[in-house]
Parts: sequence; structure tokens; C-alpha cells
Amino acid sequence: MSAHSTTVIDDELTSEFGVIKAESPAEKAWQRFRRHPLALTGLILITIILVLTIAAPLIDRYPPSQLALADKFQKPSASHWFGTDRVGRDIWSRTLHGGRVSIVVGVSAALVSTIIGVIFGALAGYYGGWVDGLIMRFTDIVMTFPRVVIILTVATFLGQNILNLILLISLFGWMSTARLVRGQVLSIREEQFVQAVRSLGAGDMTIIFRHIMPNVIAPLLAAVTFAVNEAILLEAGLSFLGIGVPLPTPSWGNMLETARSLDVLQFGVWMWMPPALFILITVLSINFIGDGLRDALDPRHIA
Amino acid sequence: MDYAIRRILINIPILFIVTVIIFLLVNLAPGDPVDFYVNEEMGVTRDDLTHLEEKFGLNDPIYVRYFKWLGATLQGDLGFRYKNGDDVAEVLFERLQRTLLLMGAALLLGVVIGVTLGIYTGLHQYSIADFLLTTLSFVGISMPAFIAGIFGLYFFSVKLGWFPSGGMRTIGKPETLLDLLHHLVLPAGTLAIMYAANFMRYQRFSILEVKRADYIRTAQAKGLKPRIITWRHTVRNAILPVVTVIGVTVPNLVAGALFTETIYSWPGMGSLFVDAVAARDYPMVMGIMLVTAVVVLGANLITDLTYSLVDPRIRYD
Repeated sequence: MSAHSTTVIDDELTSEFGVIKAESPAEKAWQRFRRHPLALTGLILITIILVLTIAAPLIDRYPPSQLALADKFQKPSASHWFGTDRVGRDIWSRTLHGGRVSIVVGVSAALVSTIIGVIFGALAGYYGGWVDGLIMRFTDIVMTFPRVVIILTVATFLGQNILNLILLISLFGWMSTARLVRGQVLSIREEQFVQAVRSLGAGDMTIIFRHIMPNVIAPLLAAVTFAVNEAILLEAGLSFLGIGVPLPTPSWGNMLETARSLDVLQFGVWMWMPPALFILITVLSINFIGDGLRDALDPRHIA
Repeated sequence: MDYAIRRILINIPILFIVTVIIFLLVNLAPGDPVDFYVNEEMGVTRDDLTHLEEKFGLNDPIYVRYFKWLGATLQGDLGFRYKNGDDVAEVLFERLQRTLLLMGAALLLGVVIGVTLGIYTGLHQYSIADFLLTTLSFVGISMPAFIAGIFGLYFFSVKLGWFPSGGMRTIGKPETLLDLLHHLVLPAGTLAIMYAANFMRYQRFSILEVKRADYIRTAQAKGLKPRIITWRHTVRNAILPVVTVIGVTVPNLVAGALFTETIYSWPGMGSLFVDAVAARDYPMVMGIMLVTAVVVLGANLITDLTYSLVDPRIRYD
């Protein structure tokens, strides 16, 4: 998402001042992205979902956690568009507010894990030697545990709240970013401009973050979009198992949990179908966008 | 041979560190495991338990306890469940077999369907089928096991009634293979969706890449029949890299199986883990984490060794 908005800004700036318009790499990327029909579809869908969730307090019609036992287990109707759950809470309202929680958890966990991954990856790639060996062996070992397994174990005794959830998803989710960044830094640090900056007396941190990292941003952007997806799915999965976002706060994952009872699954379709579809559409859109970004930013990438 | 031995030996230090992580993770958890047994009504007081702590060495320094645990684990003794005193290793072994059956079936389905569709779409790039399947594959990779599982259960079991809604066998019926397969189709099928989509994408990409290789142009220049170029040169070389992906997906498969087993009440390791974590049944939690790590490392090992057999270049770094 951020990739897109920055390219738009670049686009406007370059045209306003009339400088080397066709040669801006960001603009070229935006041109390629625009011609990617799936990426555009994704962008439109995710915009709709974001607008709906951001506007949740304006269009929710009922407070998301308001109990109304008289209205429980109602089918979708004019007064409750998506029906109500077993304690009479409005599903439409919970879907919108749940989306806020799911998206906030997903985006913040992805950002934190990306920051950790960038730091470890940059250090490993730049310094090489034992630093690299240590960090990479460490990532190998953490990766032998499926994330859900290790997070489930730790989450039970850390206590169940949204902050812990974000923390755990990011603490066990930075490894693939670290690998990606390491690979990029490894090849860029040998380039002549890096040697030039070094000969000018720049320190290691300046070289890494001012001169090398800007060149890693392109592949990183696509990786971040996929990280957001993974985090959203992890939140949903953990909440589905009852170890994620605690009730009564709605999230797409804990709304979906109701479908674990065969009764609700069979006779209360309206209770679990909206969060399931919203998760699916969100993840699908982000995958479309990520794919479009990867193609747009890496011209060598085929098809 | 040299490569194989080195590749196998490297797992020993990794496994050692894995055991340290598992032990620390569970033992640094706040709360005394013995508190679990405090039950004033049954006359079990804190004093009795302090005595027990002495007896079982729970007050030893953490590294002493670690090596005691490691020693027992190496002899196949994983302890007893807090919940009901069952032998952890025994229960785990039985559950693991069922999980491996589920994972194996899902992997097989995923690889066969994915690779077939990937070859087809790769060979027919820009065709309508390619466009449809590629778009559909996005839906596949966006469909986590728990959503696929719920949809599968709702449509194929509740609505259509084609398959049972859970379990491994029909209670009260003789144990037949057919009955088992009937119960396996839905969990394995829904677990396989993401893999089929993923493998299709890898396979298609791999075909497209090989199609542009110099040796394909050489083969065409030599005047080989297109059919031979396609099957003997393109497809054969393009399948190889996909083999490596199988090993990488195993951690995901384990995680996916956890959801699938919970949804379909498949009595495997995943549903056991969810129960054990909820009940803070630490010996079982540690056992399952250990087995999971061994399964993942083993899958990576097998993948690497197979790959080095079929592609000798990999042996020389």
C-alpha cells in the first residue's frame, strides 16, 4: 500500500516540475503496476475494505459489543443486515469493527517484524563472517518450529491481549525478511558506490542505512505486503483456536471461532460467513497487490 | 556420500539447540507446574508439594533439570501427562501416525494436482485455461486451512452430506480402509488446496523459465520434434526445482494440519497440541514441539538428499 502512495507522489512531483518524467524508476514501476489487472482489482477491493473498516463507527448501526439477548440468533433482516450472534450482537457491526482489529494487528505485526528482519538481515549481510553465521543459524533454528505452534505455546502463559499478540507474531515472523535482506545486502555491498562512500570515510551504519538500504526497498516492499497477509492470517488462526484477540473485542478470527460449533456452522451461516469472506477477500487483494508490486519493481520477473 | 554424511551430521547440533529452546520456553513460563496439583479439598496442600518438589528434583538448578530431561528424552521417556498420567511417548506415537497420514495424503494431493496444472499452464501460457487457473491459484494461496476447512465442512458434509463431519472412523462399523478413506477425503482435500495452488505456481514459473533456457533453443535448432523437446527437455528439467519446495512447505503443513484436525476432530497430533496447550499439559507440549521439530528437520533432510541425488551439481557448493 505504501508503495503505491509513494509512487503516486513521485508521479505528481515529476510532472509538476517537468523533469525527466519518463525516466523516474518509481513512475515506470507505477506504469507497470497499472497495467496489471489483478493488482488493480486488489487495490480497489482493499480500498473498499479499508474505507468500510475506517468508517465503522459511522456506519455500524449498533455498538459492536452491545448484548441484546432478546434479539439473539436472528437471521439477516432490515434491522440487522448481517443478523445477530448467540448473544444478540450485531454481525454487521462486529464484522466492521473486527476488521479494524484484524487489520491493525496484521499491519503493525508486519511492520515490527520487517524492522527486526531488516536489522538482522543487514547486519548479517554487511558484516558476514561469524555475525552472519550466528544470525543465519539462529533463523534456521527458529524456522524449524511452525509459527502457530511456538506462538500457541508462549501465548498461553504470556496472557491473552492484542499487544502480546502483535509482539508474538512479529517476534517469530522476521526470519524470511532477514534472509531476503541479507541476500540483497550481500550483493550490494560489493558494488563500487559502496566502496566509494567508504573511501570518503562514512561509518558502517551510514553505509548500511543511508546507502545500501534504499536499494533494498523495492524487493522489501513486496515482502512487506506478504508479511501483512501472514500476520492477518495468523491473528485469525490463533483467534479461531481461542488464543488470539480476547472477547468481547471482535476480530475476524474470533468471529470465525463460532463456526467451530456444528450447530452454528449449520444453522447460523450468517454468523461466520462474513468474517470468512472478509478475511479471504483481504488476503486475496493483498496477494494481488504484492504480485503486481513484484512484477512492477522487478522487470526481470517473468509472467 | 560425503555430502550426505555432512548433511546428516549438521542436524545433531541443531537438534541439541532445539531441545534447549523447548526446555527454556516451557520452564521459564511463570507458574509452578506443581501448583497444578494443589487441591485443598482432596487434602493436597502446599506442604506436601514442597516435599514432592524435593523428591523429583524440581528445585535443582535449571541446567541440571535440563540434562535430566534430555537424558530421559534420549531414552524415549517423555514423561507422563499432567492431565491423566498417560505415557506421553506412547500417546504421541499413536497420534503422530494419524497426523502423518493426513499430512501425507494432503501433500500427495497437492503435489500431484499442483504439478500437473503447473505443467499444463506453463506449456500453454496466455491461454484461457492459463488465465483462469492462474487467477484461481490466487484464491488457493489466499485460503488458509481453517477457512478451507470450514467451507469444506459446511458444503460437502453439512449441506451435501457426501462425507462425514469428523473423526477417523464410523463408530460401530468394522474398521475398513474404505471407511478410513471416506473420512480422510475432506480434511486432506481442504488441507491440500493451498499446496496445490502453491505448487502450481512454482511449477508454472519453472516451466516458463526452462522454456527460455539456451539448451531448449539448441534442441529446437537441432530439429528435434517439439513433443520430445517439451517432455524430455522442458518438463523433466522444470520438475526438479519444485522438489526443493516440498521440504520448505512442511512447517506450514504441520501448522495447517493443526487447524484441519481441530475442525474435523481428526484424532492426530495437532488437535492434541491445542488441547495440551489449553490444559498447560507441559510434558505433552514439550513432546509435541520436539516431534514437530524432528519432522521438519527430517523433511528438509530428505528433500536435500533427494535433490542432491537427482541433481549432482548441488553437492558442490
